[in-house]
Amino acid sequence: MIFARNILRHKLRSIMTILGAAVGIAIYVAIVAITNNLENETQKMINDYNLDITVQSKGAPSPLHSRIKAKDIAGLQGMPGVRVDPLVVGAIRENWNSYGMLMGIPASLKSRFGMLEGAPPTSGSRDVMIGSILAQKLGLKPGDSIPFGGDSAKVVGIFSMGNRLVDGAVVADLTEAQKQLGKEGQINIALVRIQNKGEVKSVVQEINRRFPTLHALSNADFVGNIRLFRTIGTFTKSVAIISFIGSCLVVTNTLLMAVSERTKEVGILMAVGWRPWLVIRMLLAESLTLCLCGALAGNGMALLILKLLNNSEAVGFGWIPVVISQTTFLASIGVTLLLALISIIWPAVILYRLSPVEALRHE
Amino acid sequence: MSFLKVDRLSKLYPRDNIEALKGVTFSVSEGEVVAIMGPSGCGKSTLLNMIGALDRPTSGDITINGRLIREYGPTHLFRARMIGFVFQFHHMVSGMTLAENVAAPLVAQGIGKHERMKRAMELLENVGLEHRAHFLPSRVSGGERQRAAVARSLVATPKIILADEPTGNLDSFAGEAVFQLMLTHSRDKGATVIIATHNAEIASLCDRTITMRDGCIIN
Repeated sequence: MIFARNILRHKLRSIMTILGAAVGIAIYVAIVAITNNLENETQKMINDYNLDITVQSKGAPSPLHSRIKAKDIAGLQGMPGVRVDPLVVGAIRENWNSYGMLMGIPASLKSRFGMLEGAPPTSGSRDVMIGSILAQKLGLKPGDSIPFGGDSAKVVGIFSMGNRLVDGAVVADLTEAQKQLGKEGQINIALVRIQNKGEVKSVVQEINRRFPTLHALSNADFVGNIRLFRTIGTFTKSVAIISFIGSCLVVTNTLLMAVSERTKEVGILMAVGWRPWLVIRMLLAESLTLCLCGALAGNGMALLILKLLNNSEAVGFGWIPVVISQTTFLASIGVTLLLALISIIWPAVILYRLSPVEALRHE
Repeated sequence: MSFLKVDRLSKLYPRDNIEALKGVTFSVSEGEVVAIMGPSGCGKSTLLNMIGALDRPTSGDITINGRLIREYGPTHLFRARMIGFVFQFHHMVSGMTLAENVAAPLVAQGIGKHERMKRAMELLENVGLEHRAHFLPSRVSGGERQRAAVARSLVATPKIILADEPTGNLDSFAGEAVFQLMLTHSRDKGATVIIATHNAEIASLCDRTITMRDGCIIN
């Protein structure tokens, strides 16, 4: 365990290196956890509604930005063999949450909400039902009121969909939500179910042909085609690459310092017959240990970041997952191994070129 | 027949335009203990570095048992199998225990850990350091470190031991003890010893003395 002794010999430097690697890993893990979870939750929401096709306005980066006009809704509803449920969704700014999610649903969708307490709001009323996460955060139960649209609304039910996005939302009748969101006569997305499930592809093509301002997608294609998610994905990769480079520099710097400090010792080992590779292997063990410690610390830091964001009012209660999936964790370990390998390249080149005599003379 | 033959060996450092060795020629028999004396900068260390394949000569040849050094294969393996080094400042690896330092030449030969540690412990016992085997070099005295360095030079039973001022950093008592240790054990193992030293007393205990000045052998 020579490498472990070398790491422990410079405790502060090792801790700083581990933290340097951990920060990069934490940023990577937190962003990947958020974006993956957002995509998964959105897909789950679509699946929960048992949809076949989702329709939004053409060019909208996300359902939140989509606007479908009344005449197009009517046109969709008039198509044979399809059932269309309109959905309006948007953000409201209230004193209990500066980025609260409001959903407006028609009577046909109310039965799809799993009620924990109370009942869904009746058509035409100002009453609302709230998700279980929001109810827990605000300590509300049916019969209480919640500040809503400059006034207050009565909470008539509490539901749980097992979906963080929806369970943190306020759900109102479609008309009331349209009014609160300033989208009278408009909806964000149309949720389409068709009688003959084998016709999904042809119905998608038909909607896209008949409604040039709309964009229909099959359930399976929906999440992958949300432009906002693609943008977030690109942003995530950029941030991950930048933090990776930063972490590489930190670890490389530590290894270079180790090589510089131990040049004479490297010379001794070469004098007694060690090949440069044996010395590099020892350094690699140090690099891997530091980076793996960084990965574990980074995952811990990521959980802390996620928890803080989850509790942050500015972000919106409950939106952020406080969980790191097994895939994300394993990916972070993979990234770490890559980090350890890349970080050792430069020090390894120096060691490889070092002559034993020069190393022994090094002061 | 000579065991070690150094033939017209020259070393020029072109960057500094220094000719450290100027056609040095001498031979050493197997098991002989030879002292190389001379003032600082006369080329003693350079000569040892050439014999130990730590550096390459500009011209000339070194043969051991009738074979050129390069004919022994990769230089690291040649050093691991044929040469034992003892340096002036003990040169221990600070992150390794004394036992690990002593066993280091065996790592290069691919010998397993159990066998390495067994042989290292035997050598440490021979130099009276078995109780310090698991100490880091920073926790033992200079004399003990140098005794461990002697043990390291002997652990792979090399044919040649090259010692560069092995007692230069020790007081006369500790220096003589280290030298006697080196002499006794190298004689036991039948190794040829070449010692670069300023110490006339130590040189007088060797079989022969070669004197150098300005990169040449003068006596």
